[in-house]
Amino acid sequence: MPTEPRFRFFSSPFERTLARGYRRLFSLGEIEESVLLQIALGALLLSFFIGLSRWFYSESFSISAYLDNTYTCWPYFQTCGEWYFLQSLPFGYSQNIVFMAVFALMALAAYSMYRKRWAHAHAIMLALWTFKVTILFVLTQQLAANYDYYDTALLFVVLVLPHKLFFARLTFVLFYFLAATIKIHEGWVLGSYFTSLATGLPIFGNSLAPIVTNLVIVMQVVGSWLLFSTRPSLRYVALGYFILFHLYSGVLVGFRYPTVALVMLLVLFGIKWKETHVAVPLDRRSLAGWCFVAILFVLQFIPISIPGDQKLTLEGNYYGLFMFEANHQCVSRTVAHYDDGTSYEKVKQSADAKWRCDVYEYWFAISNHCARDAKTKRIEWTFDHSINGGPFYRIVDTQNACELSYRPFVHNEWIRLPENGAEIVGYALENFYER
Amino acid sequence: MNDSQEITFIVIPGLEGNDPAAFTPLQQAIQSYALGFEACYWALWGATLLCVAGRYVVIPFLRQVMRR
Repeated sequence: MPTEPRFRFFSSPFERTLARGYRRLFSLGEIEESVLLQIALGALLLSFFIGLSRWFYSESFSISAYLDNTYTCWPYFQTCGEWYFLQSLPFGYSQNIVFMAVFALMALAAYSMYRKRWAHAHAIMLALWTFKVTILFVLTQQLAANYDYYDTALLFVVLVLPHKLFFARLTFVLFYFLAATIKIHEGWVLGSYFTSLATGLPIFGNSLAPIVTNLVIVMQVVGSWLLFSTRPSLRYVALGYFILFHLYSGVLVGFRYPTVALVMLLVLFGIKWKETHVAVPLDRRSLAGWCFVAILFVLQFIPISIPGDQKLTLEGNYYGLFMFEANHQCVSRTVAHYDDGTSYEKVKQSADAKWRCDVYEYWFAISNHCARDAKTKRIEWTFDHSINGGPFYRIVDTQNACELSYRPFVHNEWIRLPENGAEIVGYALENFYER
Repeated sequence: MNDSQEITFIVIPGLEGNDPAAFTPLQQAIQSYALGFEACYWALWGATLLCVAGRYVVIPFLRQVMRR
């Protein structure tokens, strides 16, 4: 039996009307009646806890990052730094104070869940969701990571949408299905993402790499839907495969990704699996859920619709799922020329496979430098990028990067494509996943 | 991967002593079919989406509308 919701602070008729409106708006009854949704809420709280604990000391959205020009805004909100108001250590305590307040909220949410006060838990989780989304999608691009997309999207479904369980399951399956689009690329067809690593593909070795990577693509495209199958054997196969997949991928990505993906897989499809195959909601209340699904598709297809190889240009890359899209190496060389005739050369290099070598991120820092330093006359810039052990292409070669601007949803002509004459300037050595 | 005589390898600090990123025999064998694989996967992806959306969303929705 669902516990009667208590609204101790809502004693007047007006306040009670407000509380009833809140319950109806967010379909709170669904959470109160579904043990699965209650467990999902707890699992997402765990994911938030681990995710936010990784940001605790982050300088990505602190005042010092803005002052030092080490921050990166999203391309669609390039003035984000002007909104920074927190200071991280070692320069100040304000960010840590806010994060500790958030920690207290998380503890309160856990207590509310334990006491089965779902309205309280919901309100607190909504505040936590708003906090995280503001940092993740408004204040900085530097923290963009797919495991954080997972928990923010799933928590949105559980907190806001009607038909919560159905759309949470559908969203989860769509994560696999949509993530398959970034793997339909030579790097995954040939498995060269992994074979270009000095350590090779974990456990299976390089000789089996193409078989393993192609199996992943097929399972994400077709196998993921079997989680909804009415036939238990098919469901078991899909569930077993994805459990093994998350345990295996954890060898490279660590605890963070399986904490949300594996746990939510088990919550949504491993418990009460007989109820997985439910009727697809097509009533008016389901409209919001279908709009959300449509948005997921649109976001995933923004980078695909931008001309050029998304893995090489990284244009629009972070709008959709992008995990393991390519193994990157890059060299960025700038020469700043000053009014007094002097110049200063700076070379930044990365051989860390998972450092994305996002040309936008380098441009963003250069652009800020130009705007802030009046003595800088111009900045020469070349940017060489190799993916999956392939050749280094000189995708940027400009005499004055200060004149460039970056458009967020279309191809930027100054990023040169191999098919449009970006020359090969060198070849790659085997690199490393984590450096 | 490539054995160009003219263009050198780019050695980023930390990679000294590593081998060139090279294809395995299996990769070399399927390399020329990679584009075909990609086309097949896109076709499979689209077909899966059409099947799932058609069977479980579009057709039931149309039936529901017709019944009204």
